[in-house]
Amino acid sequence: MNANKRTRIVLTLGAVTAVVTILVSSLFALHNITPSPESVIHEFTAGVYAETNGFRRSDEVTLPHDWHVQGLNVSRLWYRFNFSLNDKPSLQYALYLPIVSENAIVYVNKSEVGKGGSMVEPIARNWPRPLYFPISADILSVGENELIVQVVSDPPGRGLLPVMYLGEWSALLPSYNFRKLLKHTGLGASVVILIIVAMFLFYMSWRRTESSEYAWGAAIFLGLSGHSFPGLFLYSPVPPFLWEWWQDLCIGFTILFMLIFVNRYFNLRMKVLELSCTGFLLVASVVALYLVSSDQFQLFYYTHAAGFWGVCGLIMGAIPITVTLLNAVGGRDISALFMLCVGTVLFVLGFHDMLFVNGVITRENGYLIHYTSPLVAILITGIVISRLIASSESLEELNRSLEDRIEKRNRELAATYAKVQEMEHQQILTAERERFSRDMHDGLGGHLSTALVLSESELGPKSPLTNTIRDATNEMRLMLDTAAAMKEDVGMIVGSLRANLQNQADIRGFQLLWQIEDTSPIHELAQGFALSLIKIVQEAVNNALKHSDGDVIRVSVFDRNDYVIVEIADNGECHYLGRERGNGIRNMETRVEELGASVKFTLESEMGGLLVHVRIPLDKKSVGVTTGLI
Amino acid sequence: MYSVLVVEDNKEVRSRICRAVNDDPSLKVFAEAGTLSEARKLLENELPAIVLIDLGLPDGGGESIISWLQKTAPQVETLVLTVFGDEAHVVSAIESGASGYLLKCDAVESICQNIRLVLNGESPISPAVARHILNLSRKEIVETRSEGNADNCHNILTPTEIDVLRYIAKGYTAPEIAEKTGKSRNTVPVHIRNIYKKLSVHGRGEAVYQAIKMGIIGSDKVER
Repeated sequence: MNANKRTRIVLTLGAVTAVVTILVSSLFALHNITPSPESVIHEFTAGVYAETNGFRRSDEVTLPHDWHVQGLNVSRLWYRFNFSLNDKPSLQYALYLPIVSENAIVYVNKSEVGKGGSMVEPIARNWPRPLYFPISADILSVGENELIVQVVSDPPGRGLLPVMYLGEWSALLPSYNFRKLLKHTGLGASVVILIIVAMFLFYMSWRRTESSEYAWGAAIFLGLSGHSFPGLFLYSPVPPFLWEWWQDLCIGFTILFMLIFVNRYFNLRMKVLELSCTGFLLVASVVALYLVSSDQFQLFYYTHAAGFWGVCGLIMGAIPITVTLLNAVGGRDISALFMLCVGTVLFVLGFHDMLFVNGVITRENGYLIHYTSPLVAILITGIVISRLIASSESLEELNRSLEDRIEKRNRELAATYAKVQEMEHQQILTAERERFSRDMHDGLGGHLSTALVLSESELGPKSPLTNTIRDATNEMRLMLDTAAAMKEDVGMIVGSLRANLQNQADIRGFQLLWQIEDTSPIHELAQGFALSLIKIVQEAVNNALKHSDGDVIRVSVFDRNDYVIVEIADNGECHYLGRERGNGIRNMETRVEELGASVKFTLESEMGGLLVHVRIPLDKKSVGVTTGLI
Repeated sequence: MYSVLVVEDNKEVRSRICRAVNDDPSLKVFAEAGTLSEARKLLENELPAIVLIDLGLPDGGGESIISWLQKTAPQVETLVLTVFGDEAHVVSAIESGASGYLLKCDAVESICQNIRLVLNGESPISPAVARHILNLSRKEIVETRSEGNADNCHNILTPTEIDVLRYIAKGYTAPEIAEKTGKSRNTVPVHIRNIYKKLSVHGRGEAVYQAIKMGIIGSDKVER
């Protein structure tokens, strides 16, 4: 075992011990509260008792007197106490019995001052209720007084007479009320709370069938409430032995349900153990019912079998506590620590109850196990709520993730749709272009070729009309070529002009230098880019051919930084660029602006003539339209 | 002397081409036709050295004659007559098996010069057509790679052929390309011819595949 694990175990055990100590100490401190000495005129702790009222054979007794502890298997005992008063009381007095099992009747100076219900069958069951009898000042005497208490018990041997207090009626009343609140009203409240929480958990279990721990949690609550339930009845609606059997049964099955709940909660597979315990409990319940209902074995059951139940319950209860402890130490689940605390409290209080049920200690404190009800309710409700929160968080996370995915898919879908639309658009454009091209070729092209042939034959190949028709044909060819060149690089667009320019250069006696380098592709070509570029180059070359007196023209395309450069330079003298610019130059400038490019005209370039420098940005962001003359 | 069949529906254009051919001492018009059916009849009787054919004839496309000749008489050179030399017409003709194209409006001298070029084993090509073939080649490479089909590799252009096409697309002439690539001037036309052949194989393969798909011919009749 490594140091970290050891530290964790020590810390866990320390925390659990501290919490349990605080809880149990607080409980006992509250539970054993006795009337303040100022409020007590006489505290009855010693007297005599006898089986008959005549006290012919009496024994001394010290209170509390627990019949079971003393081995008295009787149904009825009489107690006699003497007390003296110095003055005649001016106020009403009262006798306070913090606990009695099962019922008592009180006589002061031979006068009956009260009883806790029927003293004959069905005997009133007052074990969770303190008794409080007002005593009229009239029946009290200055000097010696006699208090006689008759206690009855059903089943036999369970009787108890506690330390009793005599005092002023109003002075003792708060102690009585507080005790009643703890032992009776609190018991009723816990039963109601447990049943309500159990119903809620059953509902949860019905709605969430995949989580069986809800149902087992509800079963624990019902088991605990079933155990405490008989304490709310003064008169048992069924024979008392059945009442006793039912309480034993409830506590046994509550422990079994705890075992199963813990296993389910920590996802442990202990099917054999669970089935064995269930089988054992069922058999034990049947045997117990037989014993307790039989005249022959009833006494045996009351004196011995309860101990058997208790020991078995403690052994069975140790299993879930061990499992919880291991999980708490392992640090797998923070709620395991809380569960361990509650389980330990349950175990301690259950152990106490087992001790008094078996007559090892007096039953002066009564059952304590039901005090754990609020803790168990808080624990299991807390677990359920934390699970619900975790589930809802997980659901929200899933929803968020789903929404994100849907949104992403929607975006993808929209992008795909836009792409498809663009493709469809392109397809339509391509089809339209092809149709246009075909029509031009078959229709207009046919007419142009016929016209050219006719003009050639009638007017000769060099006639102006023939040349015009040939130019028109070439122009049309250029348009068709560039129509499909939208996505090509600049070099290839200019390349389609070569034959045309070469032809014109040859006619004019110019040497055409062709320097087209590889260039980077231009993002987002402007509409009509290819045709505009071609027109610019063509215009520049035409100007050089017609207006410069040189004999060399150079057409260059190359990359410079983030621009593609197209240059047309000649070695002549520029006669057409000055203050009055021709239409050709203005057209060129307009077209350059349409391309989102810039143009510069440089006179006396390195070639000696005009240099037309067109700068086309690779990215639209770097577009800066400038035109000028250097 | 090489015999030439001229198939063109426009009478004036046809006459001009016939005159141009007859003016060349090494060429002679073997026959002329204005429709596809006339051309077929003539070809069934006798085969010329060269067929000059228009694609848009009144009774059908000239590609069918080109394909038929490519299959039955591959020795016959076919040149497509076109007004603009546009890529759509030229490339589809090359795919059918044409050796090149002639511009109807070209000067008479150019027509004969181009015919002689073809007879010498060369093929005319324009920057626009080169650009279109480059695009086709890029698509072919992508498709072949994605299909992982090694059989199609012979249809893919070699790096040198692609370089040649790129120069042509940029407007360079054959001598300029030879100078830039450091190869002999005579090898450039050979590359172009090879490119045409590959296009023709591709075109025929595609045509056969489309024909099988459309049920025009059965797959059992296809000989590869």
